[in-house]
This record gives sequence, C-alpha cells and structure tokens, in this order.
Amino acid sequence: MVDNVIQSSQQRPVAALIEEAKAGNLSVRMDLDKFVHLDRDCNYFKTQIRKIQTVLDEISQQKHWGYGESYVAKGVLDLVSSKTMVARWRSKAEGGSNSFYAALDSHWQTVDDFQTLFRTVREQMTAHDEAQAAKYKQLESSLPQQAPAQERLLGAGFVTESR
Amino acid sequence: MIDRGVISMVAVSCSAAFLLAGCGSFDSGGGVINSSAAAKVPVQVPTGFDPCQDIPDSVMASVGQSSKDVDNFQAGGGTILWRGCAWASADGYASRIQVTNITVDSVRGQHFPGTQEFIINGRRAIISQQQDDHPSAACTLDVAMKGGSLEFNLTNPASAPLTGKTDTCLLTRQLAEKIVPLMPASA
Repeated sequence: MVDNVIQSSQQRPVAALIEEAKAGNLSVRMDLDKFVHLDRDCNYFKTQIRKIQTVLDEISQQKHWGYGESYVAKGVLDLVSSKTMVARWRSKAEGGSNSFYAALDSHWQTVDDFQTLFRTVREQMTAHDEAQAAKYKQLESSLPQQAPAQERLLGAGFVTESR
Repeated sequence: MIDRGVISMVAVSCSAAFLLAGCGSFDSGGGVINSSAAAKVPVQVPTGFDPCQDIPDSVMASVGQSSKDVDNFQAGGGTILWRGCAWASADGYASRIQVTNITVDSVRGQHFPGTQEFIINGRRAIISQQQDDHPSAACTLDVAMKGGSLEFNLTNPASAPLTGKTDTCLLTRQLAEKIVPLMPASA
C-alpha cells in the first residue's frame, strides 16, 4: 500500500499539488489572461503528444523496413543484425513501459495534471467572485491565440512539408 | 504537385528524425515484398483524393480533430507508400488519413486480428487491428479506391478521457463514414 502511494506520487508528481489546491492551501498569483494562455498551451501540448503517438503507431506497425530483415535464413547464412535492429526499433517505438509511446503517455498525463492544477487554482479564484468569473469567461472567448513557445533542444517536433 | 505520390517525393519527408523507417535507399531486397520489380516502376499512390486538401477542417472538427500536419510514410524499402495527414485532439484520439498503394485485398491477405469487411458509401472496406503492443488502442481501416485505398488509422490510448474507453475500431468506422462520402466517384 505504501509502495503504491510512493509509486503513484512518482508517476503523478503534480497530483498532490492538485489536492492542495482543491483544499484551498495553494494559490498562484497570476493575471487571469495568463490562466487562459496556460490552459490553451496545455491543450496544444497534449494534442502534439497524441500526434507523435500516432506516428509511433505508424513506425511500430511496419514489419518490412527493407533492411533485409525479411531474408529467410539459409543454413548458417542469415541477416541477424537487420532482424535484431528492426525488432529493436519497433519495440522502442512501442512495447512495454520504457517505450517511446509509453513515455509519451506519462508525459500526456503530467501535462493534463498541470492543466487540472491551474484550472483548480483559477476556479478557486473565480468561484466566490462573480466579477472575476465573468472576466475569465470573457478572456477565454476573446483573447487572441498566442503562438506556443518556441521549440528548443529536443524539439524534434512534427514534420511539415510545404505543399 | 504534378508528381505528388511518386517515389522521388518521399525523400523530402525523410528529413524527419522520427521517420526512420525505410528512408533513403537502403533497400536490400526484403523477401516478402517484390522490391526488385518496384525499383524499376515508380510506386504510385492513388491521386483521386487528397486527404490533406480535400477534407474540410470543419468535418474533422466535428469529431474533435484539429492541428493538421502532413504525414507521409513508406515501408518495405519504398514499395509501400502512404501520403496524407495526421490530426489529433487534446483529450481524444489522434488520426491519420492517407492514400496508399495498399489494397483491400492485400490487407485481407495479411490475416490481421479483428479483420472485418463491409461497404462504406458503395466502396469495399476492411478493418483490422495491426498494432501488437496495445491492439485495442489502435485500428486500421482501408477503403478501396483506384490504385489502392484510403487508409484511416486511429491512435486511441486508454488514457484519453473523451474516447479512451470507446471501441477504437468503432470510432475509426464512424470517422470513415464521415469522410468517404467526400471522395469523388472517379477516385
């Protein structure tokens, strides 16, 4: 039981903060428009993660990479390394808890938890203040879209071709 | 645009660090697919429908899908091509809709788990589960068109709050039923 709690707090590092926010023990001093942008950015991030996961489906579903992995062994003659590499890449894309797909799923969960955290904090701010609540609603529908943060290191991103 | 779908264009998409599969000219003649013949005849995907251009954003938005990106892919050393786009949703599934030279008959021949055939808007369609690691979170649907098929792939992780508990193949079929009527009869 204790192990479970420790494990879940490691996998959901933000979960405890959400509880604190719900209990009213945690507040964030931030303009309401920042909450709007933060919420949108979380959606953007979560959408991009799902899109990378579908590319990983695409990669791992391919049995034929054309590296000779389909060569049928003739006695001692075999293309062992091509079979090994293709199997490794496919399973690194998807397969088990340390695959790219599974890691991204936990990233999605963490972004979702951050979104819940900031939503909870904002709701605490607006729940008892009608003017603030109305202002948030208005900002949410009227604030112009802001470009997401620039990609930095590891920003492999999604490939776009000009067409 | 003129040579869209011809193999020479695929090299462009290979700049993607992600898309390791089959990039470049590493074809060493994988046994199952007849790549020696393919080396002489450029591989073509169907041209009668362009998933990236011919599907209105509003149709995808009606199923929560947005954020379109080009998603081209190849396998089997360039003998199988996909050209199309990917969409996703923050709290639902992600989707890929691509034209491919894979045919309904060739999917049937693979005997994938969960294979079922039916008709969508007068076209033959075949649905299958091609994902080994988490079969219930992915589904593939190929709808017959001239020279191959229009292929739908859904990625629907169990963690997706809006769709993760719904049958992925059902969602795939519902998406296809919205899109297939947009295809011209000549495609």
